[in-house]
Amino acid sequence: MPDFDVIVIGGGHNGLTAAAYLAKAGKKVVVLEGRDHVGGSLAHLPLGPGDAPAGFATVDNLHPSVVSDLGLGANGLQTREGSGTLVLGDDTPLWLPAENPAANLSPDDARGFAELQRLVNVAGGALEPMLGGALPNITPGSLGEFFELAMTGLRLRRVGKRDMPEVMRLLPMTLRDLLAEHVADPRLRAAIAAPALHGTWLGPWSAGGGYALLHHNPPWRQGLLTPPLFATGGPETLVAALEKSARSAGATIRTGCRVERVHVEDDSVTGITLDGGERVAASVVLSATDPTTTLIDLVEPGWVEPATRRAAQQIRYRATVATVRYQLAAFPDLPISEAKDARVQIGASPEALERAFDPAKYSELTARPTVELMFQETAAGLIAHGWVQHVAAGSVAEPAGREATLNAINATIEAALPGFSGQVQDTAFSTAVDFAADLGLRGGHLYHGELGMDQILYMRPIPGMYDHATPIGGLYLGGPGTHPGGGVTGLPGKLAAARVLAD
Amino acid sequence: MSQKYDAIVIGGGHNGLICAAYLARAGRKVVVLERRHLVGGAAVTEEIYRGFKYTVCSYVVSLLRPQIIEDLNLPAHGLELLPLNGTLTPMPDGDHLMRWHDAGETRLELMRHSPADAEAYEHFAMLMYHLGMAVRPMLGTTPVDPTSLSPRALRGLADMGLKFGKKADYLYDLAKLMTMSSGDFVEQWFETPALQGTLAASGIIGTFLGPRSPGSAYVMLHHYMGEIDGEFRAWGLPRGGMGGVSEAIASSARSFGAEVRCNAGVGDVIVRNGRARGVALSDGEEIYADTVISSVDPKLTFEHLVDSGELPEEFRRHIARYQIRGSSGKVNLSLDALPRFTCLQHLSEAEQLPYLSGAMSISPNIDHLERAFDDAKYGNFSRRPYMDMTIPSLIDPTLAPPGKHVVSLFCAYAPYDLAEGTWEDQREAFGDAVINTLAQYAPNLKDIILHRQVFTPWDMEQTMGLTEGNIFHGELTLEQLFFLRPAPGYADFTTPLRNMYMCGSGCHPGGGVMGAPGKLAAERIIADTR
Ligand SMILES: Cc1cc2nc3c(=O)[nH]c(=O)nc-3n(C[C@H](O)[C@H](O)[C@@H](O)COP(=O)(O)OP(=O)(O)OC[C@H]3O[C@@H](n4cnc5c(N)ncnc54)[C@H](O)[C@@H]3O)c2cc1C
Ligand SMILES: Cc1cc2nc3c(=O)[nH]c(=O)nc-3n(C[C@H](O)[C@H](O)[C@H](O)COP(=O)(O)OP(=O)(O)OC[C@H]3O[C@@H](n4cnc5c(N)ncnc54)[C@H](O)[C@@H]3O)c2cc1C
Repeated sequence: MPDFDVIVIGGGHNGLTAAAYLAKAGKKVVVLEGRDHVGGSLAHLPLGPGDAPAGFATVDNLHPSVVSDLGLGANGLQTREGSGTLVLGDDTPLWLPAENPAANLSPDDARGFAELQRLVNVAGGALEPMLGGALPNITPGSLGEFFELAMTGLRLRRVGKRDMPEVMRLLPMTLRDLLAEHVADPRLRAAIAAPALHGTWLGPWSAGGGYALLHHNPPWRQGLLTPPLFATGGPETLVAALEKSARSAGATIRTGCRVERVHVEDDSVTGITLDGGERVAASVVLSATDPTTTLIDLVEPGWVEPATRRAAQQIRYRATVATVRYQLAAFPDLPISEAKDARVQIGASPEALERAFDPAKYSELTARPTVELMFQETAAGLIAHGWVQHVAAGSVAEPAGREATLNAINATIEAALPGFSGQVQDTAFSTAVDFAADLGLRGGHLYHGELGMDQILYMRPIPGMYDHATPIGGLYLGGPGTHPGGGVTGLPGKLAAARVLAD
Repeated sequence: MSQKYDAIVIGGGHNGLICAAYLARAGRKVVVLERRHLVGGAAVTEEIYRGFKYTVCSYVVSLLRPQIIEDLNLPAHGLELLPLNGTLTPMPDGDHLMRWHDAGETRLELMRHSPADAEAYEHFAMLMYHLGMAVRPMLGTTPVDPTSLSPRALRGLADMGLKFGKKADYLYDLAKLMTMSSGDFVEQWFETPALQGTLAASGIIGTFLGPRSPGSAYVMLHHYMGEIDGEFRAWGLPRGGMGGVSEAIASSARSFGAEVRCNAGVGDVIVRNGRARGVALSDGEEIYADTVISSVDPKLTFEHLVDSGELPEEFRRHIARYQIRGSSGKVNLSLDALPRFTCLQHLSEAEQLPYLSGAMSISPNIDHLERAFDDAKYGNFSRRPYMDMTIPSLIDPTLAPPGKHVVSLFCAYAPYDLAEGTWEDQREAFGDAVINTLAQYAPNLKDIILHRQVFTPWDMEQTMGLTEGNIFHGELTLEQLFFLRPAPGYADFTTPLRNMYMCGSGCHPGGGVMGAPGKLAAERIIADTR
């Protein structure tokens, strides 16, 4: 007798999203989270006197359908737009205000930026069904599916004879070349390129940056350099809203329950065993932890056939993101006051970003990291969140490397914002090594697998397994390692739940 | 002179010659106008030092379409391809990795390094073979323009869909090759660093990408496609050096009635009322024809030879953004004796010969290549370059005096734009970097060098007219391949000017001594001007 209709492994935001959708559809669902609280990377480390579980500041790309379907607003999620982007580096600062990012650009760059923005919107619009929804079946089995696929093609054709090649060539380009075609100011190029590289193992010189740019500026955000979207009260309000939504629909959420094994009989799942030995039975398991861990480590050996095993083992998880959070006594001196609410980009040219990537390729220590910084005033005080890319996992495995990296980051920030270090009261530094240890993430990769041209769309998580189902009956994947990928969107969880319900 | 031709071909590289040969074969009155004193472009043999014949630029044939060899009857005009033996990769620890022409011997050698790799290699070879077969028809067809709604284009798209459907087994493997980095791709297969490095290296040739950048796996496939025409991995050296190919094609073209004029550099394309009327040579001579075909690269053609006022604004923009960054250099040597590789020192001189009669690759691992790229992307030549080396005189002894040798070193990276200085003053420093790197594997090298020719991207531009020294007339990146090469809407060898066409490596399917652009363009022109 199954205990639940569906077991969700992992209480990250995608696991919670999936659980909420399933419970709303009347399924009896349990979320099993290994740590003692839900939220995953959104609630990584406590920091500061109040031990606020501040993960990070923004919920930029959360899909509007998730917010409305799950009533996240009613469950306490409030968002607030930031003021823009400030670029700092060796040069004079560049301020890109949210209401008009082109305000301080040269006339040529303003025009070029508008054209690039238009192109990204056209591309996003054409690919919207793919970026924000389930992928049409690629080997059309029925007339209906064939129609769907044709529609996607037609939508692309609808952008017109002139723009269609532009959209298609954008995807594989390097960010360096793409941006150079449109704008000249290196600071502006850096402001656009840096957030596009999140979760990738790419520099601005690597091909495929165009797709990453679309991924991080999805159609529902409408544009480039859109302002950061803060969750008022911190990201924990998103986690809390998801949790509330799931619970009120009847889902059970258990923390401190690490899943150790997914059981299979006759090619179908029967349930799971927790690390304490407890067994929970269900005929559907939706795993929101990464695909390799799920298919290789959790599923009972012998059930995943060799070709799938091999493909799952080939997924690349080279993590190069580190985060650093500072508890500050007061704001440092900022070149403009609006920057308190802005994304502050430290590293003012694509070349600076590329040089930051260079050592990561060889797992060497970063000497010149680039940092994206955001300030947030919380109940526990003023916090500065830093996103650092690229810090190779291998370079911070030993304490000495970790310390050297943090020093380099501190020095970079201090050089850009003199006086910053004087305000620091407490620091929490997390690297891929910590993400792996604390969140059980393979390689410590926050996107549960690199975002690269061969690991997206029909090839995410592995070629052909793009519809959230697996070759094992009743086993589904719903973490950011699946289509449409990482970031805080809620989409993988939503789409996986839809797939479960459709089956 | 007011002689009028059916067609003028600008540039006597192998593509221009092939295009002319096909046109002449179809009965057209054609003239090829070549700026230099010899034909061949990037496929030439030149006696730079008395008695030593260098294959100055390209050095092996692999992609030349068999259909062209047959149609133009090239063997009768002197083309003879001499096989290379395999690829030797010297390793830093004094060992070596040899991939022989013979699959069985390669397996034995790979076993010595890694039984898993020996096993995987056979599967890898099969996969690349099948992928090559799946993609190869593309080399023989004009790309379909997906934006067009013409019946021709729609039929083409439907055809492609059907063909693709049949190859569904390989669909994802193909997708991976189109999107991955060559480094990541080979790492999924093999564990021996020297094997990884050597295989990944074919992904960086002629394109300004490192082996860690996505897109380089496609370049690898581009190189593999040719190898399946002959035996797998069978690279060939033409008798007489690379000029042998060009001479044979020129001779064939003449036999069909084409005129081939050297020392006839074109200064301008004469355009009136939106039509190309002919060309003006640099010395002022004007030559008229019904059709003008350019085999030089798109930038040179449309930014220098054609008055830009004659071209639509959008097309000009597309040509302006066409990426044609040079990234490789060439070092050619005359040697007093054979180089002695440390990794072969346990063998007698005679025993070493088979190892030296193929390619030698300085690619000990992927990081070596990537670090070489790191230098280049900031505007420096690689301090420790990647090299693909051949000793053509071992294969064709007529290229050097008895007992002496010529060596061809294809080197990456050498960026066209240097951060400091000019190529004129950096040229020999680059040559030193190449020789120093190679000497680490072959210590006697410096003592046996008689002459050295260092050929930089700048030299390639000056001498052969290759813009920015790009060896493929434009990089082989996805955004400028297939229906996007060289510009959207013009992948069918046409140009915005009626009766002007393109036929060089800047067209689909791209660079290499392959001949496909020349042949496809000729077919298009013959169809259009019937
Ligand atoms: C500090 C920080 C800042 C970030 N900033 C941003 C940002 O600004 N914008 C953005 O878009 N993204 C950001 N991210 C990344 C974002 O959080 C990830 O990309 C997101 O996609 C992670 O998805 P998730 O929440 O579904 O999974 P995760 O957060 O990875 O959660 C997975 C959960 O599964 C649990 N689990 C794993 N294995 C088991 C098991 N065997 N049994 C039970 N439970 C298990 C883990 O404990 C964890 O709670 C940030 C991440 C961090 C850490
Ligand atoms: C260093 C180097 C190594 C290479 N190695 C290999 C290899 O090993 N294998 C391989 O397959 N490929 C190799 N390639 C690539 C290959 O050689 C080229 O892609 C190919 O030869 C180009 O042929 P093409 O006919 O299209 O153009 P080209 O060979 O460039 O011919 C163009 C011709 O036009 C002439 N010209 C220029 N301007 C004018 C003008 N104004 N008027 C008249 N004539 C003009 C030039 O002199 C030249 O003869 C290499 C290239 C280089 C440069």
